[in-house]
Amino acid sequence: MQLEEILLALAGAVAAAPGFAELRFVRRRLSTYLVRDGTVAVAECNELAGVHVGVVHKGVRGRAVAERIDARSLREAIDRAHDNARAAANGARALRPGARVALERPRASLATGIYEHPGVRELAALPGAARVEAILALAANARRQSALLATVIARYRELIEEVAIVTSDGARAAQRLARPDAVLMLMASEAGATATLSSGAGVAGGWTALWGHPDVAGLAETTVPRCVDLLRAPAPASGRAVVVLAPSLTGLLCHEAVGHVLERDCVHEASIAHDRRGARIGSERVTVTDAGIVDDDRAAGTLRFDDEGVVTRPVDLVTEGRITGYLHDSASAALDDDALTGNARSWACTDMPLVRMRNTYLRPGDSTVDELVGGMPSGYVFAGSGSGRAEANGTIVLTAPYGWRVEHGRRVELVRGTALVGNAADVLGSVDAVATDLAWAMGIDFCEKGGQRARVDAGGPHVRCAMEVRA
Amino acid sequence: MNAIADELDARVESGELAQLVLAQRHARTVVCRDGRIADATESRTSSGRLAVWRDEPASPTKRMGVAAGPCNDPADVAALLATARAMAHVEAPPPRAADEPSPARALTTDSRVFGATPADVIAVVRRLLAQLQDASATLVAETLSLSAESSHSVRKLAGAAAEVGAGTRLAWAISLAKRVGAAATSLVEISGCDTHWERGTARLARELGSVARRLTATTGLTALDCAGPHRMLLTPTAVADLVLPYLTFQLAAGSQLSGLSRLTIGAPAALPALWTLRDEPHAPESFRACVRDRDGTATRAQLLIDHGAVVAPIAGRQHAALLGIAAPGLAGGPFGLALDAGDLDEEQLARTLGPVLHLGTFAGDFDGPSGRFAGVAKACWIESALGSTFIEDFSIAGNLHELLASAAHLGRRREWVRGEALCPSLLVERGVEYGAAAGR
Repeated sequence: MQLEEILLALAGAVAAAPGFAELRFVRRRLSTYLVRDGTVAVAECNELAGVHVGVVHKGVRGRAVAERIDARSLREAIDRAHDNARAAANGARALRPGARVALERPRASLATGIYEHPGVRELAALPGAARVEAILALAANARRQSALLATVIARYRELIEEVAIVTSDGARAAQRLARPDAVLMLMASEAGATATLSSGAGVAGGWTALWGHPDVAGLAETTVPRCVDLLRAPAPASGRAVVVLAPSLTGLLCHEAVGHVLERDCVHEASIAHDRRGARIGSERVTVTDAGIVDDDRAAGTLRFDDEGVVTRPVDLVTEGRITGYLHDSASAALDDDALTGNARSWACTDMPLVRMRNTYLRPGDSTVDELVGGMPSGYVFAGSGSGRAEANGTIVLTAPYGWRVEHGRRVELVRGTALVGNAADVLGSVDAVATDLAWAMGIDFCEKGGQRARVDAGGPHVRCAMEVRA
Repeated sequence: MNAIADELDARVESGELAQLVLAQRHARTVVCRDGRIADATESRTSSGRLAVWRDEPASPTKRMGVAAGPCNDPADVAALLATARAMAHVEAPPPRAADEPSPARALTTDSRVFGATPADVIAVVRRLLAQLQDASATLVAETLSLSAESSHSVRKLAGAAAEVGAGTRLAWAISLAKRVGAAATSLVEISGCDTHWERGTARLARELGSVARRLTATTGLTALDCAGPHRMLLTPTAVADLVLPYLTFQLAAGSQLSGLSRLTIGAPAALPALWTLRDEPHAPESFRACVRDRDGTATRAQLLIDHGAVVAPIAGRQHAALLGIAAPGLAGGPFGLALDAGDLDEEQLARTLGPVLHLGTFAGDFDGPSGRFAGVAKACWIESALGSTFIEDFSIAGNLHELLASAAHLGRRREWVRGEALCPSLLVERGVEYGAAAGR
């Protein structure tokens, strides 16, 4: 069924439903090709599809899933959702006085229309073999770069997302997006020493957008020499240090230390962000925004509307160091009497939407990277695609794959990867210089929360701050 | 489901082998926020995972492709087969069910939960909320999520009889806040899983009561002000969080083939003799229990690490062929990892041991080849037998290989963690740096 037909079917079911109803069709198709040491080791296509049905009874959400898109299946799912809501609401404690339920949403904030992001048709027209050939060629190219490579793994993934949503209060929209990514994973070995390094990029867009991405074009030529050099690189020294984070790690910092901390469904009373709008969480150089649509339409978290049918709106989470916004779903926006932001996202049709990020980034400053490094008596520049964790109390842990030791404003040697830890407010408060070179760098993988995946992106320019190095 | 599975026989072509795994999942989830039930969800889904092996004209081997997706009726089998054929690029040996041992039985872990209606789940959540209110006026369940899930599966190799399996799981995730004074609050999270409805709900109530009592008795949570390598006692949950993912990576055939593993099959023991690890795919407590693996090979109890030496990899048919060994039936596995118990008496330890960090949970990342890890943990600082202090989320980093090598003792008692792994406690002397807790 085409999205237009699916929208019609959903609209018919919503019109016939008693009370508020929200029907969301989701189809996600993730194809993975992985080449290990010259041969295809994985060729797998996974598809999730179905219709998520949500209703409300006395402020309690009832949900069910329809596996087929026909009038009878949708009606039965709506009935089951009502049964669940009634059972849960029966004898439940009343809503907090003054609390709004999520049904009173301004019509202007709800999405209408059908959107198709560039690249979907390009990928649909591409022969399947082209993907295998490209990833085999990437692996072969990497292998040619050095005899010290013990392992070469190349992976191409392609996520095609189709979502259609109709709600009783006016949302009626569909979107189709493609999010491909390519990654090279290497291990070099020499005289008992080993070094590993992964690099790549993911985009919202098509084949051309991915392979033309600056982090993918020349991927083997840049990643292999670095991996080999890491064989002889020392570990950085443990302890608190002044560090410059490359855009990939700045994005990770924004994602972990700001984005997750300000997801309203995670803001418990014990959170450092609880009821702290206007409070200082960073230096005046820190302004962090989360947006579904950004200037670069290749940003991997690109989203027109969320999984509650709300148009995505940019949110300035931190402005000049102070908390100025939270990420909301409809329920949390209603509870806080805040504007809708369009951050409710889910992965499968069986999942209830959670508050998730889209594209989260630190706004560029006015320094050059040379000025950032040149102003350091000692410290490190860290770079590469890392991973991270953040907790409600502000603890953050980032892993940096590699870096350089800096002395008297100059990079003097390559150093191995390390863990960077700290408290969100301390780290963001220590930011004393921000460069101009904004780049997106987190589209390579999925963000996991509550057992659900989401494709997000994050980025920023080089920044200078202080963190604890745990070598 | 059998009719859908039988469609496979009609669809396979000459020169093809195919295997279809069908799964029906029925889940009910209730979420409570701020002491009030906010969401009740019920979902039924049917999905299939179809692998096809096709003759390759220019090669003696076959090409394999895999497709997974919704599978509600026989027509869906045709769609999955078409996608799997299009994906058939992997050079892989085909499944040969005939020369594999037969599975002992179709596996059913427990059927009691199939009778659990959404109302039953809601009733348990209400009971837990009442239990919390009775425990302390200062405690509140910020979020409480209880999910009951049952699944049926049918595995069908084209031309062979279908096998049926069933599984159940009750999973919970709860975050408790304690209000201290007007503004200060503390938060503790507990999560778990059981494969038996009545046992699971009873265990959840006990666990909630225990945490509530401890939280009520605590005057406040503290930041960790010690840094550096210290003695550490890991709970079975922390062992499952921290140690087992590393061992799984090291034992994975992909790691063995790629040279990424530091624990090589057949090499002298690289770990202390206290480490013995098995896979128990038929353990009724394991939610992943199954009679055939993803390739269709019959599963059986496997010794993976014997007194520190690796004896078998976690491999499917394709990797086993490359390693030159018989398929161990672990494609898509492991299906129930179990660490052997040790000699550590935790209660005696608590009475006699000096300062030790009692690590409860870990969440973070590790680098498989080097063993480097970093993340966030929750723990108790046990000063002596008389006093202990909760420690909130704090950063922790170290090297897992060193941690395993410095393991001093494993606990006598073992418990199933989230229905995934059977683990004892673990006492380590070094290998971990922690500290720099969050300050608010």
